[in-house]
This record gives sequence, C-alpha cells and structure tokens, in this order.
Amino acid sequence: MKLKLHIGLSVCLLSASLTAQTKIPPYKEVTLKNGLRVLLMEDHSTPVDAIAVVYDVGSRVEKPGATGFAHLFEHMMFQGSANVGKGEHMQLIQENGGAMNGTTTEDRTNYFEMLPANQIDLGLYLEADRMRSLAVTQANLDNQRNAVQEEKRLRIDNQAYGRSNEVLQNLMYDNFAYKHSTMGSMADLNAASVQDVQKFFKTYYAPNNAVIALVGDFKSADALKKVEQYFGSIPSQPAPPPLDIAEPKQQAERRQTITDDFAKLPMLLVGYKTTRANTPEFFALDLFMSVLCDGQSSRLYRRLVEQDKIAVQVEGGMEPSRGIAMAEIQVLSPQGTDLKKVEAVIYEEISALAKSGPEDWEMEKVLNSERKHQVGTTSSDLNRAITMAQDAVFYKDPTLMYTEVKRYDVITKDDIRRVAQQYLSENNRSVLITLPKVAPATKETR
Amino acid sequence: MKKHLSLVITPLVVSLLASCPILTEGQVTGNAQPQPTRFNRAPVSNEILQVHIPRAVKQTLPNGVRVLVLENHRAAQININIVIDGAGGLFDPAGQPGLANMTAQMLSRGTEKLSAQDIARAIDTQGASINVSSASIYTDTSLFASGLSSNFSIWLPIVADVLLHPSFPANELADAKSRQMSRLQSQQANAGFLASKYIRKTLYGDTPEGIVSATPASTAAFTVDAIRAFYSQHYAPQNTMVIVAGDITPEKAFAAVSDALKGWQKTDLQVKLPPVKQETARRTVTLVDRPDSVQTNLVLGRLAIDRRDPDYVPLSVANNILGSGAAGRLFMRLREEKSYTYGAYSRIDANDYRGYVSASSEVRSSVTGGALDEFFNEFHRLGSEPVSAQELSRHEHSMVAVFALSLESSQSLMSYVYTQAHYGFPDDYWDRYAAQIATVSAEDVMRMGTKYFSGENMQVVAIGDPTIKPALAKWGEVQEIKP
Repeated sequence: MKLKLHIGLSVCLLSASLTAQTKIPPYKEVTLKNGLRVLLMEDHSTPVDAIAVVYDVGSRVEKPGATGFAHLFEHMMFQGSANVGKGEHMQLIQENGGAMNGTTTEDRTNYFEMLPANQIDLGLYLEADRMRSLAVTQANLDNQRNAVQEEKRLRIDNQAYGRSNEVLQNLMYDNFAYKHSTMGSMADLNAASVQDVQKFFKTYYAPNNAVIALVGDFKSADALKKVEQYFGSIPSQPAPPPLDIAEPKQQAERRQTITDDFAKLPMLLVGYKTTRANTPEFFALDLFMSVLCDGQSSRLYRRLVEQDKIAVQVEGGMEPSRGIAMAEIQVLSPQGTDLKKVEAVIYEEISALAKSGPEDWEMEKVLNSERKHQVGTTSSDLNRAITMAQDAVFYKDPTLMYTEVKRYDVITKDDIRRVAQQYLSENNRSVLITLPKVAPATKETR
Repeated sequence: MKKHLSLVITPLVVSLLASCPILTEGQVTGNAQPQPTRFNRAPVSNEILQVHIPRAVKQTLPNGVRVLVLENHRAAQININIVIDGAGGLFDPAGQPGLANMTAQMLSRGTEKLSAQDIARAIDTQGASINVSSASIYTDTSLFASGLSSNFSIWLPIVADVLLHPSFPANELADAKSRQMSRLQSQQANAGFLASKYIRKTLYGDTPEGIVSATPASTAAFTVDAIRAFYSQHYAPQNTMVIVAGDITPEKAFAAVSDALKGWQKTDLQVKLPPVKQETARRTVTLVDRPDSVQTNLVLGRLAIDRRDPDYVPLSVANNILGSGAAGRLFMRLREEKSYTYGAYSRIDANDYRGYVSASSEVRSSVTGGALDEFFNEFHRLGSEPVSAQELSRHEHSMVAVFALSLESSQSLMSYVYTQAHYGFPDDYWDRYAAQIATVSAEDVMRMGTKYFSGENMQVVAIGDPTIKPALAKWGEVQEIKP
C-alpha cells in the first residue's frame, strides 16, 4: 500500500495479525514546562527500551542556495556535545548492546535508540545533551560535509536511476519546500558555514519543537522522572518562522526525459499531485494504488508483466506527505520497449479501475494488507516509538497507528472510484522517462 | 517512489546472525589514533542484561524433515522458514549457473492444481507472503512464508503445494527467463553487484563458490526438463529443516507441518560439499572498469574459515574491533578522521564451506589510493599491536549486550535456532556464547589479525572509473577487467 519508509535498523517487522490490534494500549502524554512533549508506552514483553526524538524540521524549511542543510545538520548531531565527545554517542550505544540512527525527510528529522532496558538513562542523557549543547566546530562540519557528499555519491550520483526521483519531484512540485531534494546539491553543501549550523540549531532544535517517545520495559512514572531530570532544564526558544507550503493546482501534464550513465533498462515514472496524507481522500487513494500496484496479483503486474510482457518490474503507491502527497507508479521495462505503450496501458488500467471500482477480493486483499502493516508497526517497540512521535508532530495524534485501520475500513468502492476520477487525471500528471545513456534502438515489442 | 530518507550511517542488522557480518572500531599504526573523544560522563549501567535465547522444541518427521518450533504469542502471526539443504546454487550443474535459483523462482509459478495467478491471489488475499531464494553461493534453498495464525490452516497448504507439487509450466519459464535477462543486464552496471562478483571470483576462481549469478547464456539454455531434474534430485525431505515461529503451540505446529509435508518421499541424497578451497599465495589487484563512476567500490578479502571452525569466536571479536558499524576502527579512520567515505566496514562470511573475511568501502575516486593505504594500515595494526583492555572489553560487551535486542525479532531468533541445529552445535550453544566471547584475549585478537588479515594474501578488487588504475598499482600488478 503506501510506500512506508523502512526506517534504519533492520528491526524485523513481525508481520501482522488480521485480527488487528485496534485497541490502544495505555500510554501517557505529558508536556514539560519547556514545551517538550513526552509520550510513554509500557511494554514488558521484552527487556528492551526504544527512544525516539522527532524534531519538527525537515528539508522543506530550506531556501534556495541552502539545500541539503537539514540532513547535513542531522549528521552534526552525532559529532559531540558539552558532555559527549566526537563519536562517543555511537560508541556508547554500540558497546552497550544498542542500536541507533537518525533520518531526515522533507517533513521531519528523527533520532532514535534501541537499548537493553537497563540502559534507558544512557539513551536519555545522550539525547538531552545534544538538544541542550550541541558542539559545532569547523573541523567537524568539514568532516561531515564530506560524509554527506559521499552519501550523495553513493545513493544518487553513482547509482542507476539515482537521480530519477529527484527529477520527478522537481518536475511535479512548484513550491520550493517540496520541489527540491532532501539530499540537496553539492554546491549548497559546500556553502554551509558553522554560523548556519548554529543558527539552525537555535531555531529548530528546541524542546518546544520536538516530541520524545519511549516504548518498552519501564515504569512510566520512573521514566517520566528521568525525562524531566535530563530534559527539564533545557530552555525553550521562540517558535520557528511559519512555513508556506501552499502548492498551486497543476494545469497540464508535465513531461521530461533524462539519460542515465548507469541505467541499462528504460524506466517510466508517473506521478500525480493528490492531497494531504491522513485524510479520507488519501486513504481511498491509497487503497486504489494498492489494487493497482501491490504484488503479483495487482492489476498492473498482471497486465504489464504477465500479459503484455512490456515490464519486468512494477511498483507504486502513495507517498505520505505533510504537503501534497504524490501518487507514483514506477515501471522498469526490457531494453527497446516502447514506453508509450507502457504509458497507454497504465492509463487504461487506471481508467478501468476508476470506472468499475475494485472487485470484492481486491478489497479484501488491500484491507488485509493494511491490517498486516498495522500489526507490523505496532509489534516492534522501536517502530512504535518512531511512529508515535512522528504522528504527534504531524497530526497531534500519537496513537494514529492504532486507529488508522478503522479509517480504511469505512472507505467504500465508490469512495475509491471518486478520488481516482478526481485526482488521477491527465492534467494532474507528471511523467519522467529515464533512458540508458546509449539508448538501444526502439522497436515494436508486440 | 521511496521518499528520500537519509541516515547518518548505513543501517546494520541488529541481530547477531551467526553467519553474518559483524563489524569494527579503531586506532592506527604509527599515526594519530582516530579514537572518538571519550568524556565518559554519560550514565551507563555496567551490568549486562542476562537474556536467554529461547530454545526450539524439535521433532523429526518419518520422512526425515526436522521441525523446530519457537512458540511466541506476542503477535497473532506465524513465520515459517523451510530450508532445503543441498538445493542451493552451490549445486548448480557444471555450466548451468543459476539453475537452482531459477528452479526456486519457478516454485510459485504454478503447481499441479494452481496457476501462478491463483497462488498470488490466494496468498495476497490472506495477507500472507511467500518468498523463495536460492543464491548461487548458498548450499540451500530457503522458503520463507508469513501470515496470520488465525488462517494458518489456509495458507500453510498453499506453501506446501508450492514446495511439493510445482508444475514448472513452459510458458511461465519462458517469461521468467525473459525477465531474468533484463535483470542480468541491469546488474552489469551495479557497482555493488560487480564488487561481490569479482571478490568471489578472485578468492574462489571458477569453483562453484566463486560464481554468484546466472549468465545470459546459461539463462537462455534453461529448460523445463533441466529444472524438473534439478528439483527431483535436490529437493529432499531428509535434508530439510522447517522452523515455525509465532502464535502456535509445538504440538499444533508439528501436526500441521507433518500433515502438510506427509506425501514427501525420502531419497538417498546426501549433501556433499566441494573440496576445501586452498588459498593462492600471492595478492592480486583487480580493477573492474565502470566508466563515469564518481566513487570507487573497494573490497579487500581473504579466504578464512567455515562456521564450525574454533577460530569463529575469536575472529568475530577481532572483526568487531576492526569493522563493526560506526564504532569500528575502519569507520572511525576512513570516515570520521579522513572524510573519504560514508561508511567503511568489515565482515566474516562463514557457512558450511570455507568462507572469507572482507573489508569494504565506497570512496570518492580521487582518494582511492589513500583509502587503500588506510585499509592495509588497519589490517597491519590488528595483527601487530595488542588491543587495549578497554577497547577489547567494549567490543566484547557490545557483542553480548546486543542479545537483548534480538528478543524483539522473530527472524533473529529463527536464525539462532537454525545455526544451532544446522551446524550440530550443542543445545546450550547460545547460553555459552557470551562466556566464550569473554575468554577472547588481546593476544587472541592479534593472532586472528595476523592469521586472517595480514596484507600479503589480501586480495584487492576495485570497481570504478578506469582512471583510478595508477592509484591501485602500489599494491600489485593491476589486472583490468571490462565487464
């Protein structure tokens, strides 16, 4: 269904129960005097504690000339603070049997630790110390700028199709907040200064701009005392400046073709501007895209791969966003395939499904898949902590992961048809074609 | 599609998969140590949380299938892993690389009763999943299925049908071959694939352990008859282990698996491993041309041990010091000090046959030579300088403390019980593992460094733009390959 992000550490997502756990377990929500929102959920089934801190800042706050900064800053958060040396954070977590990471998207930045239950103080101390007193030096900035630039080379510049999603994002969005990539540009990364880092820290890394969630083997009253002890005296800051994320309505189809040094097969990306995540329309679109793209029983797999044999791989889904979400379809085709044919089939299948709606078994499939996803999220302490904190930041609804299934359950076939007809239209569409550098001659495939 | 998500480090598997990479930390010969600054002010509990890896309840069916059950009612779901030893790509017939994998892929493309689409629809509608894999370098084919405990009795028979009654339809094989041709084309440009292909080729030559993938020629030649023959010769119950984990009692699991697999007839196939690969005495330097690359993928490797070797535990500790994650010596040196890369790690590959140690990193092209120097410095240091008591204890602590986290992961626990049962380790193997790690001394680590990481036999493979060739020459005559 939705292309949910598989976050960091490969905590295995236990697959889920169709008898979904829609009952919300007891949890506690407290706001400290400095504005830090605290979420606590006990689970004594394993001797593990998960801690997630989500800051309400992502690459969408970046301005032209300063792209990639939110992510570069995330790296700086591991470079030491008043009481934690450079590299000591990673070392302390690892040597005490924990796991940790940080991630940045357009919409937020998160930091998380999973630790044996007797090390909860360690995790809280490390998170609090960097929230209070991040140490920023020119040497560390230069070092992490290089690490980030190598990350960009690794994930984007040196990979087949590495640029394609960035180019589609740039093609579809008009507001700079979502138009540019989280990874940013090499030139902008080079321009980042120590002063920029310090200002960013003061503006966005304040307790009143963050949520911390703890899930695991602790007593809530004790854990809350510890959170107060470590975080309570960190001063709050003025709220960050307001952000304009208004996205103009698209008037006509947009198209672009790029060549790729490392691609061997042509790839088609089709994106549609849709609506905000966590709305009934979004849920209906999510079910539509799941029927269309999920698994070997999906409509596009059956048609493009099995029947017409003009694709080797089909993926697609809704990209959740605090801005306007993209519905995206990605098709990899054999060398020499006429992508016009692939496009025509996709539009034909979208029209057919939008006209007649899903069949009964398809509804059963996608709703079961949503339940399974929910059990997966809620059966890992770390996933729960990350999701709770994020949903608190995005929607002020930390237990959304437990209630979301009910919102899917009430979606009807008519809802699905209606939103597809409304949003998945030609004028709302952006198409990116990625071709191998030396394109093989196009030939008829059938 | 995938929303861009940036991480501070490459995510590592939390679980201590026994045959999996374990990585490092460090300082360096001669020059300044890339040690993190340690203030030691953060509150740490010095106790290691004592956890016990649960033991499976075991039963052997009359046809020889070994069933292992891990009962756990935390979530209303069941995972099942069916491991068919002797059916992996290592046993591809000569000249037919990829046949085992194609056979495995074809299992779910039709049975005597169900079409490929019937299978996909039935499994998807139940909210279940089936994945079959049979990598060229493995001795086994592994079928992993997952679904709800409430409808286990519906989806388990589909899994069994796929395993026991595949029909290998000719039209499905033709389509699968055609899709595989495209994948083979794609992977020719994938630097990570090329790195694993050529390090294996360098270490093992043209033996089965050295071949990682089908070729276009072998794929074109696959026939239904060849696949049927491979299936009937290599899929045998007496070589199969079934691990069931989740919301089910052992009694019910034994009954369900026994019923599902009851028609499967024992054969006389025994799994025979290839002869132990001997190391070539000299170092080779291989450059695989990938024009326009902006990074060089460096992999350095040496033949080492199989999983049963008594050196496994001390070597794991040495490897943890050298290259385990963000606290390893390679990461601290190549990334945090030198700014060459996003990450640098080392690992041990050790299974049924003689495996290898390796270290790898993706570095920008201009620092290829410098990065190689740092790798060799760290190898040398591991074998020539005793690790400090503190550094050793930190790593040993890490390797034991991480067990607590694995209790959250059904798949980690499944891999622990698989390792114990497959290699014939004693039932209390994991209970004693922590104590074994604690006995590893600084001298042991140095001995492991000398024995397995000394530079003379360390093979070098670099995937990158041809202009990096001069940077490699310091380490030996460069053999250039244009894939």
